[in-house]
Amino acid sequence: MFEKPSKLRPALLGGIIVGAISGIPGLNLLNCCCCAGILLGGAMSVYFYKQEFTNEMPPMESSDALILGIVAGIIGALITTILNATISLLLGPVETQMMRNIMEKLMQKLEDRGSLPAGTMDNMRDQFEQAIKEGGTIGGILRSLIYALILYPIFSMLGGLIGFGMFGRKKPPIQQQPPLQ
Amino acid sequence: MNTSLNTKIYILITFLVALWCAGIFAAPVLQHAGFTGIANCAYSFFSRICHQNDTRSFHVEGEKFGVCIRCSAIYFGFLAGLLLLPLSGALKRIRVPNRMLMIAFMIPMLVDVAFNDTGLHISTTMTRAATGILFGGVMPWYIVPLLIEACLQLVHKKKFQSLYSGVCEYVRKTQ
Repeated sequence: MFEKPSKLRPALLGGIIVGAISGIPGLNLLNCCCCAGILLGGAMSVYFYKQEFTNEMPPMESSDALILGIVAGIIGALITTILNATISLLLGPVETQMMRNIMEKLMQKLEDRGSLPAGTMDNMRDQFEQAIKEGGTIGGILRSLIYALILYPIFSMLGGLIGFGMFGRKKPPIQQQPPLQ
Repeated sequence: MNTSLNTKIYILITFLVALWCAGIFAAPVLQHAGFTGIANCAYSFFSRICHQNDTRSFHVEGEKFGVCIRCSAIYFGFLAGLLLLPLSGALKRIRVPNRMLMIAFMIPMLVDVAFNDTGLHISTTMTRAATGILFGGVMPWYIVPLLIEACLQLVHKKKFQSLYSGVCEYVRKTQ
């Protein structure tokens, strides 16, 4: 009897997607839309897992998608926290200033085009400064990790289930009809 | 199918979603009541998943919700859909509607976001709330049956059975 493939690799890949989207400045704006990046990571882990199945293996179940999503979320939370802390601690004030300038230019452009309401820039600037301030302290990093460990597995699990609904169900095998005589 | 277990899982999910929505509403209420420490924790928690723009948020007593209008609409819409879910018989028979329907309900929200970002039209509170509720309201029909199915599969798996029976016994003893 064939067994199901290991969940480690797809969960890791999903976690890397979650971590990269949530941890890289600019890309993490995607999460402002109901954690779209985290949902995507969870769904992608199910997609990668589905690719490892062969016809002889038992079909993928929704519980597999649930576990994959949760594990990908946990891995993503850890990667995000490490990325955020690394950016804040290692890159230093020069790069922080560079990021600040890039963000301000981007926001100003959006505000000029009318895509962002007036006052948004001040709001975003406050959030950015707060993130920089929090990112530099052990307490801030720990708090960030705890929040991420609560939020990411939830949304990644939902993403996993959505992914299972979209491409996880096994299609019934096509039965070959005996030739007509 | 074990409908009583289905109902238990459904009640647990509903409780957790209601708790989530209560958290969104509690942030401004606590802020207004003077519990700024807890309110700041709630705002900081929800800031991980939403931009919390003041001009794009519902307000209670002058204080903004934990998340923006669109996110609030999605979450409260999800809760409303969740409460209506048993009426459609989705708890008795695990069945997920056509995925194209989900995409169809998602399109108005995506159009609203895309058109606003490209400057073709300006999103209003009404468009954000309406498209968010529409999307959030249908999501329980896609997520909850799969979640219940997944939980049932886990409960019936041997390694989870001992954990589940242990928890049940503990609950029985504490009652």
